[in-house]
Amino acid sequence: MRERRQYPRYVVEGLDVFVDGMSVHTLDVSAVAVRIVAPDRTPARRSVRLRFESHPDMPALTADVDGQLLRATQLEAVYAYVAPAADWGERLADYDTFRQLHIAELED
Amino acid sequence: MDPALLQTLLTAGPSRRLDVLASSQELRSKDPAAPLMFNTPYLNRSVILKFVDPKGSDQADRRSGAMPKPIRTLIYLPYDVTDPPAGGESLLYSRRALRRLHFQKTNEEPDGQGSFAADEATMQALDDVPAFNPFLLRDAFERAGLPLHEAYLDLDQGTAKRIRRRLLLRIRPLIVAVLGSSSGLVGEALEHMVDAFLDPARKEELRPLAAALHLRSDDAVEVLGAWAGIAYFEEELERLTPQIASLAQWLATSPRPRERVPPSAAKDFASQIQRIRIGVRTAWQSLQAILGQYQASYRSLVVDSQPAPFVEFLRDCRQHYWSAGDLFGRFEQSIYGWRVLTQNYQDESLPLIQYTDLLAFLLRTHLLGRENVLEAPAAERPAAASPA
Repeated sequence: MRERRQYPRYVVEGLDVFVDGMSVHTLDVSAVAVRIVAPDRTPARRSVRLRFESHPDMPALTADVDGQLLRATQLEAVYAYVAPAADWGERLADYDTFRQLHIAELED
Repeated sequence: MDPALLQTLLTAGPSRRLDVLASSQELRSKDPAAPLMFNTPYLNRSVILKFVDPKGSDQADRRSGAMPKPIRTLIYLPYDVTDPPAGGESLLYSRRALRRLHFQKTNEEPDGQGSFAADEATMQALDDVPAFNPFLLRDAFERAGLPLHEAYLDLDQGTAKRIRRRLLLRIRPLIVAVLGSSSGLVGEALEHMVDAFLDPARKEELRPLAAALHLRSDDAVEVLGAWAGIAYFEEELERLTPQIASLAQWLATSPRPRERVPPSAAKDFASQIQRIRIGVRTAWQSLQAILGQYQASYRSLVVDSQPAPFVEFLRDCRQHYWSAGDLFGRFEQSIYGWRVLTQNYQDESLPLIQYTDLLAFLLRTHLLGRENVLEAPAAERPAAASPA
């Protein structure tokens, strides 16, 4: 099993994250952890329910998982979770904001 | 101006050509009281073009030590407003040149005040962008605090929303990475700063971010704006990539004219095609390099907490922004011209006259001002081609 920090982290677009039903601003997501903007004026909860939900114009993806607080500051909180599918990391890569930069060399 | 060059410039896509004349006429036909782009009538009859000047940047820019711009702004005033390609006056923009033109046209000495001063500010805003794409244009006018009627923008709201959303998603992690928890910044204040990033009127709020990124306060907004502008070219390149690939594939088939030509002419055509291919490939690689560096430096900051590459990227960010605008404009223009000149000849060879026009057009588009970086290595020079 890889160490958590070794998983690629994506700055995602078209994929919303909810913490206990509340929409949050995502900073980045990996296959095993999600970093979000910390809730204002309330301490981050230790155990939460995380929901990932894609926008209608993006490849469909929905998942509900348990999240455990790994780290929290007044600005950000990191929750670890167990990937809900074997190909979860690859599926998250579809939402990477830089995905279109992987345009292949011109085949001329 | 050379008529062939004029034709090339006037058939450019929206990144290179701002048809003030056509937009003003259309606007006035719908609303006779609508404010036009300029106060001075002759400027509202102009076509503003981005022009790759082989001689390089403005002498005044060089003397002042300003960043050299690979693209100049050219004001074209058609003699006949019903037929702009038939000929006209053209002027490479500089503040001094515009004042000279104004004196010639009106016999009035500009005094830096009044309605012409507003026109000078408008021209400067147009000169301050590497391309006229609506998103960039609107941003430049907002930054300069100048009004601009939507009729001049033809802005696709879907694209504008998509770019803005993408930028917001990238800016939030960026601010968190740069300012971190030690800044005392919390959720709501963070969101204010994220919004301020895309609102030129609130540039003062970006001061802490600019300081943390080692940006000078007097050009921080311009640098951060250039960084955001690169995201625009990234989005547009994604849209244009299939067409660029089609052009590259067409060139790779070593197209020949329909008519038989002497061996020497065939050899010359093959050589021109090879030069265009190198031009296209080099431009593609240059654009990819800029976007790759843009991505790598961002990831290094946001994911690896290593700010140095990002700070370094920002140092040259305006240059990257202008280069990306230049390269993107070349692609857009070549795709546009290629489509127009081949549209009646699907899967057929072009007649000789269209064929030579197209090669000349693509050579001008891709090689003008870049000859020094496009010298073909000996191994890539074409072997003698056989006649058609």
